[in-house]
Amino acid sequence: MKGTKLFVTCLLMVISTALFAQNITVKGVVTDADTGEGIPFASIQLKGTLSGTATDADGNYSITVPRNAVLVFSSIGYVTQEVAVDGKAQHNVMLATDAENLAETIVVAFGTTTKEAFTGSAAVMKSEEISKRSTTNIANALVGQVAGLQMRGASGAPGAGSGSMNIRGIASMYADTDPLIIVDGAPYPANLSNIPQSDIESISVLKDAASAALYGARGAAGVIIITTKKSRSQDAIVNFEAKVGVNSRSMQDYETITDPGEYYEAYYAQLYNQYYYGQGMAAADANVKANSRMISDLGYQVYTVPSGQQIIGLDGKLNPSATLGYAIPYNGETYWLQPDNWKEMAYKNALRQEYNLSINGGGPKSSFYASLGYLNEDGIIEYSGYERLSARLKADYQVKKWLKVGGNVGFTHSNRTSNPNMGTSLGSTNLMYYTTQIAPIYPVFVRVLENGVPVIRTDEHGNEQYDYGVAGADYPVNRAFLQTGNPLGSNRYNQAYQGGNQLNGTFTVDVDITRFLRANVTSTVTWGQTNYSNYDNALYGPKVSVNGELSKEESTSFRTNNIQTLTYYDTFGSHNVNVMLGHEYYLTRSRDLSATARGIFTPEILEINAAANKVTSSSYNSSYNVEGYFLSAQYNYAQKYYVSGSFRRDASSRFAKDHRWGNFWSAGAAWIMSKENFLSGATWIDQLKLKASIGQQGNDGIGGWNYIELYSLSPSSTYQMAPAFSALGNPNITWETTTNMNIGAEFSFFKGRLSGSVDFYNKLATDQLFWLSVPEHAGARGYYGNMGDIQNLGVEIVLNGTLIRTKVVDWSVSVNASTNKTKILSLPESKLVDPENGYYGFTESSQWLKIGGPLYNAFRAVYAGTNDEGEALYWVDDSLNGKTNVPGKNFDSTTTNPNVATKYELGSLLPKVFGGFGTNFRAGGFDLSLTFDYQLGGKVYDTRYAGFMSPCADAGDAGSTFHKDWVRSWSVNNTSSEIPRWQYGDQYTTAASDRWLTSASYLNFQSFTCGYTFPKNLIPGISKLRIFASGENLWFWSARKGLDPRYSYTGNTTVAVYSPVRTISGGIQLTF
Amino acid sequence: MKKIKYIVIAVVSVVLLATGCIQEIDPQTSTVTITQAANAPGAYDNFVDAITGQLTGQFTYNGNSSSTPWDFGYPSFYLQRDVMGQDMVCETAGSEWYGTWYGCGTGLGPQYAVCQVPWTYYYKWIKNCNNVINMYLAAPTEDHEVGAGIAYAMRAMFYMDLARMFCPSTYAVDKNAITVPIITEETQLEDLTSNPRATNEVMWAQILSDLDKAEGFLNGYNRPDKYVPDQSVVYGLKARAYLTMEDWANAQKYAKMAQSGYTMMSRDQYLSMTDGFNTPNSSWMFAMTYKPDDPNIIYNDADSCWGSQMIIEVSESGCGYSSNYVGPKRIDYHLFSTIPDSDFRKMCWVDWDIDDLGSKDAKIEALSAYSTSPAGLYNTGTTVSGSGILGGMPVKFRPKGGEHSDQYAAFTVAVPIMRVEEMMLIEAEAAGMQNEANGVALLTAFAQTRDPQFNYADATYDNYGGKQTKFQNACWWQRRVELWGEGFATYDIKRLRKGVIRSYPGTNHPESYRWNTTEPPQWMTLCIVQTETNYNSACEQNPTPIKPSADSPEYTW
Repeated sequence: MKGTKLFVTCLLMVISTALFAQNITVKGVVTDADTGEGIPFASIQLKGTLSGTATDADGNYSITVPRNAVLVFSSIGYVTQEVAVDGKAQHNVMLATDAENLAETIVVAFGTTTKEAFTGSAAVMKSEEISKRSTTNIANALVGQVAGLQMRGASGAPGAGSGSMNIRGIASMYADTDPLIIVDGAPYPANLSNIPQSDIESISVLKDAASAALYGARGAAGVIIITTKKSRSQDAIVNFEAKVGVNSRSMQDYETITDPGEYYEAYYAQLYNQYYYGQGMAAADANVKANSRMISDLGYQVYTVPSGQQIIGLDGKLNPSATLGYAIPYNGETYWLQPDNWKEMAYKNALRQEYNLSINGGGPKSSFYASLGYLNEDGIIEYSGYERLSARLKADYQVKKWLKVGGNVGFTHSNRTSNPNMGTSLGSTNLMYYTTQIAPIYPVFVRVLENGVPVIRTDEHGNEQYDYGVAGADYPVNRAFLQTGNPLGSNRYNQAYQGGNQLNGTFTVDVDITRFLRANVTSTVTWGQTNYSNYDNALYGPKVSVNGELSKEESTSFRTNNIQTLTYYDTFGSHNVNVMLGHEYYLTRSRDLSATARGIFTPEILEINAAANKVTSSSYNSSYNVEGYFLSAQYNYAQKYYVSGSFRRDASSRFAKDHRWGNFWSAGAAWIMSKENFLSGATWIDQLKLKASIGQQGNDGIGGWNYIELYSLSPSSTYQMAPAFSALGNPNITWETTTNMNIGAEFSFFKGRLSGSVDFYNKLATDQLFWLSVPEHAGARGYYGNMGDIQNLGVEIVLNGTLIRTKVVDWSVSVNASTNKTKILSLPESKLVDPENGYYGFTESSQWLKIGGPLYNAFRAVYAGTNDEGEALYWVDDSLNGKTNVPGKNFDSTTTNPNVATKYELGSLLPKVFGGFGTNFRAGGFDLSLTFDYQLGGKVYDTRYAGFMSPCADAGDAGSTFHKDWVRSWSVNNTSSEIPRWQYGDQYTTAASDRWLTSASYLNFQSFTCGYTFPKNLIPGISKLRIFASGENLWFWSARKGLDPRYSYTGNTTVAVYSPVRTISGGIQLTF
Repeated sequence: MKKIKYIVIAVVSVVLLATGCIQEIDPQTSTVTITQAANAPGAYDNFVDAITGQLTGQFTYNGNSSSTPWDFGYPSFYLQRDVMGQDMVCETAGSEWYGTWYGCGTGLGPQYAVCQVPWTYYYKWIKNCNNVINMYLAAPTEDHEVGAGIAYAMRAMFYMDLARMFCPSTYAVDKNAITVPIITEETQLEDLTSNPRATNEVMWAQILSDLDKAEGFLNGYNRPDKYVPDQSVVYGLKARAYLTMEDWANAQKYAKMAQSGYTMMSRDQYLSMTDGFNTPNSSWMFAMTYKPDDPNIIYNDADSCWGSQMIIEVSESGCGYSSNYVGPKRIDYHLFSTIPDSDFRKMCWVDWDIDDLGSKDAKIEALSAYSTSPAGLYNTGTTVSGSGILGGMPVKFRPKGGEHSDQYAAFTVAVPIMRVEEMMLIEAEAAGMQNEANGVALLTAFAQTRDPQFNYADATYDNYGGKQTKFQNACWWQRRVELWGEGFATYDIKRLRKGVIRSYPGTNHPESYRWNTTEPPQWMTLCIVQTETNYNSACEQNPTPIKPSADSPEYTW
């Protein structure tokens, strides 16, 4: 407090000193004539001299000049303007945009810059583009729009977090590779669904060192900066937008058997083949045995056949007299088995509504932006949905001429109804997997015959009974498929929800210490609270005997980020200098408290207090702390030659005390060639810029306490905890370092008709936070060390072309493409399997990772077709003598046993080219835009197809449906087939091999929007009226129907219940 | 002017520092750093407690995930080892989690996760022992001796298990056959990358040396409960070791010494419907227990625990793999049929005769001799289980307190590691191998406590391809019946060089698993997970077992 007082006093003294100057001090703000926004770093020159100054980041300036001077205001992208001082101390200047040379302002680390002055590589998405999308999580709008950005495993669940993102390749082999997300200046690890897209002014994706190094510590995988809106105008503007639409399932299914008869035929065929061909039984015997084994394996018979007849006849076809439905008398009731369509019952079309209201305005000294938003998104799965209420207030005020304060407070309340079957594993808690995997013979409900009519069985309260497949409890027979599970039933009677509150406050103080020195203090506090409640019902399923189970969890996180910067900026003739010194301190602390109880009094009181038996309780907290000091400098000469540099020193609490600090830096340069005289003749060139940058950033993304040996506590007696060994530690681990080089060009030709950029990058991640495996007889599988180097090399091209540009019609097309090549430069020696014999690599997750090789280098057995018996064959390199941990080279012989099959390195699974394209069309008031994203090349392991193509090895495999391709299997009549024989008991028909590596290319029709803007002032009081329709995730093409290569780089071993959901909505935008 | 600037800079610096200084952050949860553990009150004793405290209850293999229902600690290895033989029969339909071991599944191969299970478990346990031994040796004080004794005893027990699971041959047959790599308190991390599998000779010397130390340190130690070892347990472990080494004199000596202070389970204790094989009693020498808030009990409806697999009388709960999802692991029909009706242990398994009773009511009535939940047992056998019959269902391991509907309570049981009966059988076998008459006398005395009409001349001595005398086969038969489900099947089959017989007239082994062998099957010599051989260049691999391609012809007794 005392410090503040002293500080303000000092500042007042600074101001008063200035009054004694001889000349007049002119002050003011330079704004964009269209938007009213301050223009940062605009040049103000005293006419006829070389002296002058520049505006600050918000467009304010101050210059001391003779009373009769003329000032020249200029900025890239604006028409230059001259203003006579005339003895007045205040001159606010509005600059008109220069349509032919539009300079974009982009938000970069700790400030903004113009696109021209920027020496780094970044992609920017502005509110105009963002507003065309209907995403709940803004990250989904980046795919295909930002060259070099890839996202995997995105979920379409209402309110879900983002998928995992990679910018410019794979930044690290074992540490996190997700980019750092910054919202309004502070790191933001929370769910981006908490920020309504209508509140977002811009998103900058910083890709290279020059742009991201100032976030040195955690910027190695790129930085995404999200900036919320502020007032754009001094006149009050009221915006209202309403969107109403429909969500539907966009996921495509594999072509599996959906008809119960066909399914029995397929199941029967494999058994018959075993008995007839495998065991040499007579055809009639094999038929009888296969029929009975089929029902005993599957548990459920859903066809009734005349007594003495078989379900499947000798011809392998369903008995023509078979009728659907089968009665079983049990315990005095007649149970009735008939299949249901699980998928149809699981998914529905759902309503999505979004309303946003914003008001902005301000005066000469202040600006004000307030917004209110409401989103209600019903899920395409029953009992799932997301509701969000958000409010934001952002304001700033020029308290004194030298003091400006700002505040930005956002609050989000959300409510997510979920269900317990949203797992991503291939198991019974994944509704999507469950409903697409289950054989088409199984019912959803338990049915009984009442007066000869099948009805769903109900309990005394009238609740419908779902079939969990448990014999006795449900039907009198066991279901073979994922017994004890029924995701539809769990959804119906279980209740799961998640409530969230997030309060976010950013406070800024800017102090102009002198004409050329400014201090800024920005502090952000984010408080997040999430409460989970999960009720497992007492009616059906596993919690019946304990009368229901209730779990509650409360977690809160409190994050603070404090930044202090001191900026020096000055202009000496054509020399412009800007130097910033700063300090950042980030601390996050989260607490968690949970309890579980059983014996629920009534589902109407889902609180622990109304439960009889408290089973568990837990609480814990965790913290993470990063601190950094940084320095950055920008210099330009005549806005033609730009140089920038930065240095940052960071400490992370994830490393031991002595290895905590890391140094990061960057250097960049840009040359605006088009301003050179030798190009002045080329009038078709609007702008041509060359740029280069290099720098180092860090990565600490491995979780806490890997630097020390860890023990896990468990009770050894009623009142005693005991620590058992759990993990090794390495006290020497420190920052992983990424050296990032970028060379690029940006251009605009033919009066902006063709513009774009080309970037080449070379990223070297050195001293990787490498998972060093140890032989497991150590008691652990490994620990982290700083070893191993990898390289990402790539090219990004962005092109925008305007095909038609007239007063009435505008049509432009944009396309971007990126390539990325990975290479392992070095590996820790301990990892190398057999360097003596030339194997400089190791195998992990079915990849062969070797020095000089790519990441994601597939390492699989190679399928060699079928043998004379129709069994699957796999290649063997005889020289390896059965070794399966090094890659083979020769294809010498074949084997039917994949355990001894040689594995071969099959090349990188990563796509060769990826990106997006889109088009914008406008004719009069009508507008249309479309966006697509794509990926070419690369492979993905189609785990699910392999599963669908697998005959049963034993009864334990029964109950899953099959792919229709089974009919093309090898048989005595079809010996040329590449698909092995369809025979029960064959363990290795679909063993892991390159047979399942499938092209990962895809094309996704991501979004469209078309709208009509009514002529201005058509309705008095309304300045803008637009109606529109838009859609997301419209159609998807991949190598195999049902295969979505966007789940992961390696394969679909896990699948999200919610693959991205198709949304089609209509809406209205009103501006007063 | 200059002065002011300095003041301003000073002020800014103050603000800068006010929010500064990176913090030391330690874990605040159930995972702690070694420093926190070492500084906690009673640190040494806590580390000692951890050696035995995590034998059960935790998902040690999969972390906190409950997705693998065999991930429940030491008793899971009992089942893995027992289903590899013939005395325990698995169901094959539905989610039988022990199918890999029962059916020589692909998972036994070195490239599969299942193969890693023993490695992950045992070497983590061994690491806990090594830690305590290290701490003791760093400051060998008298009050730390008991802790060191427990660590040495347990390390010996773990290595004995590993040696018997991974060595293709027993000590008596081939002293040079290789077991597993040894890691002791002296082994450095860098030694591990070239640490060969120790020979039987080296391994068993190491085990005996640990047991010698344990015997000394635990002299006079009066343990608080049977969940930690004392000196008698060390004697018992020595008896096991010498039995495996076929050092009959020592086996007899230590088996005898171990029995002191214990009495055999009585008929009532053995067949108690509330406490049978779920609570330590006078015969139990060493045990472990599930606790109500163990992860194995709390998560996944308690389906991922010992009880879910072996306690079958919980039909009413709707949960449990054996009672409600898959069906129980039954006794081999042939073994059961060789148990005389006069042997009370026969009541541990439901008699096949009950299936021949006409009506459901009659069957349930008959089942009430086995259980206080006969209707539940009926449902499990006839409806849940794929084979649809009652015969052979085990009721040896009882739900805690006879609870049938709350599986969480029913499964919170103790499981024996060592019982005095095993010692008596070791004593008898070892005595008989030196002087058969002495052995026969001891065996007869033992057997008559179970079957008053036992008569050595009429004893069962099925040979299963081995070359043993009638006497040794008779001892083995007693072990099979007495210790069924307690994890000895594989050890005995390998020790006695027996084959496996699952295919015979009337077998209850399911089709496609009816395999007969004339020597210990290949799958009883476990493979070592490939990641170990990848990073430990000196570690040799065992051959991957190959599943028999067809059922064997029926064996005639």
